[in-house]
Amino acid sequence: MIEFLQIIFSFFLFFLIISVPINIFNPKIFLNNKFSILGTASFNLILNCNILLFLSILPIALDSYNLFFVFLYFFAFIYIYFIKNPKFDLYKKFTQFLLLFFIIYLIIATNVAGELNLGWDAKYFYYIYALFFIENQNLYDLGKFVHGTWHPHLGSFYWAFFWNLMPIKFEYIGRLFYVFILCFSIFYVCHNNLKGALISNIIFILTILLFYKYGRFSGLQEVLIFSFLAILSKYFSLLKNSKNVFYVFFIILGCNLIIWFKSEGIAYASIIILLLNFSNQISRKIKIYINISYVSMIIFKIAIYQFFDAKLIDTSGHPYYLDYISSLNFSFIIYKLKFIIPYLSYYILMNIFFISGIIVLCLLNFQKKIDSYIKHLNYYFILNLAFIFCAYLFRDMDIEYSIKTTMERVIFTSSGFYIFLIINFIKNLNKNL
Amino acid sequence: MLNIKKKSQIIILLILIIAVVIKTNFFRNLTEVALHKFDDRIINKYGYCSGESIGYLLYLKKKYQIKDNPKIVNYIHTPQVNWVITNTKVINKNSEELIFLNYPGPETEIDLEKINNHLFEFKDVVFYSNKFDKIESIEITNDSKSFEKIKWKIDILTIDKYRNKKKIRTFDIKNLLDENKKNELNIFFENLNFTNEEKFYFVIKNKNISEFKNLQLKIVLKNKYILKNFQIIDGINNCYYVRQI
Repeated sequence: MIEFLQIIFSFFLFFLIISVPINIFNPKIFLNNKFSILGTASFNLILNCNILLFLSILPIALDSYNLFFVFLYFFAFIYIYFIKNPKFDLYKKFTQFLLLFFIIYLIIATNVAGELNLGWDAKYFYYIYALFFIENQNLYDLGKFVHGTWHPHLGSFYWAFFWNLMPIKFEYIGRLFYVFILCFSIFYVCHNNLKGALISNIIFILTILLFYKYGRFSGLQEVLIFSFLAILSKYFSLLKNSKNVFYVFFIILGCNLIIWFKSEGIAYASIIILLLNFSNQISRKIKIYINISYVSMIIFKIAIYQFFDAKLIDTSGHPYYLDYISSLNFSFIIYKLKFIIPYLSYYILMNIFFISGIIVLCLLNFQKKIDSYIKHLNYYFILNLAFIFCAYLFRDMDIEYSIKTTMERVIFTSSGFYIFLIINFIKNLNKNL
Repeated sequence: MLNIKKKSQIIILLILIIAVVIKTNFFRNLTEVALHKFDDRIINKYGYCSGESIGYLLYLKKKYQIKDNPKIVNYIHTPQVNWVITNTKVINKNSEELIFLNYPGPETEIDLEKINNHLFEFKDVVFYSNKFDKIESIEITNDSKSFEKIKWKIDILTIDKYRNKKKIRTFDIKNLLDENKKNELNIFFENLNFTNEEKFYFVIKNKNISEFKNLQLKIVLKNKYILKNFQIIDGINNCYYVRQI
């Protein structure tokens, strides 16, 4: 029973991450514009995940700061919500609003605690990375691990951070943070404000029901990219004019996280940055800042991985070589395409979000007036497909093996960006009925 | 009217919550979490001395306070199991001890996967090449009742990820087909220099091969690790914790 109480407690711990430092009920203190409660909570999530990223690259043992971090956040929470600006009526309403989110989190978290099985890559890489942090080593010790240079460390750091916080240490508590992020991202995408929550709640549970598969939380990192892509997709829909600079700022911060979750994160982040560049709602001056920021983020990541170990994580251990790419001949490309196209079609058809996303996108493209969000999604679709084809064509690996072991997860990750489009479409249908 | 719409939405919401509860086996998981300890649940999931044998590894870790990353050789192809006893502080140092999981004995028989009557594949060859020294012999079985004398040629070849073929050896089989006689091969894995993605085939060169029903090929592999060469520290069923003598 203590374990179950820990699971309940973990929710409140993770809740700190979305409620501090910006007051979700009164964001004006930090931000000039007026944002929704969940919108502000998503800013907190992205901000805090970036703060945790910063902590993860410090050459300090996890034990020396993670309790301090949580106490600091706990006192900040008390100060912001109970001392500085208490609004108890609103809190009561918001607690009722969050109840369903809490119930769904609890159901999924119990499933994770019961299943316990780790995914193949989690056993090879991500669990061991997390173990490095748990055993008070830091990022720069990861170089000692033979497979330590294969994948970025951030998801494993989150895993270790929350696993280490609990009085009785069970590894799965760290993975519950992935559950929380996923539930929050879908909850945020489904809800606009506290009003009219019933239909949004139905859509939220329906989405969870269609999405849910234990394997997504078996320590693999795809679910993190999926969740942040879902959040960023909603930000794109809210980019109405050049005044929405905060959304641009948080899209960039979101991209910064995505590039540290998995190596292919750089492809998703680059697509998002390209979409910002294609946007008419953003001034040229801001676009220059966006590109400079993104290039700086990439350089920073490379510098961090090279600084201590002289190894570039993204290139070592990954089957992409210039020699191989330049040696590809026409018949070999055709041979590879014979595998890529049928499997890609199959996995797209099997992924409810991806296939629904394509169908909804096609329907909306036939409308008289296509808004900028649809244009962004068109570009995303094309660039995403181009990325998938390139990823498999240029990969120096047995094509069939490579597709069978990874493509389902690539399609799943990519589908995150379509979630908001589908949900919004269903909501509009409901309004018109 | 509005009230009816709201009520029906609440009913849908409840049905959906119940659907999530059912889909995730909530009550079964809740009972497991409430009644069983974490370690027991892990053992139930992964097996004690079968499959990944995580239960046995946890038992060894606890009993012998293992902190020096002994090499683990699991004879069943499962995901990596080192994560259970890894000590990241000495991650690249292997101790003198070894752990054998699902140990098959000094030799083991593998059925080759039949693609057609002419072509057989030795699946997972890279996995076996780390645990076994050589392909000792090959055996042919079939349903034929005739005492026909056969004279076959068998090519052993590998195909890499670029579809390049490499012939390893050609050998002749001359014996009565129903005798299931083993034919010596002695192909040493260390001479083959496998990369990760090679496929390993046995090709029978004989025109009349389709006449034989249920033709099967079996190979016998010789184990790299012979138990009598080790001091056994602990052992349960086919799982052993050993030290090199």
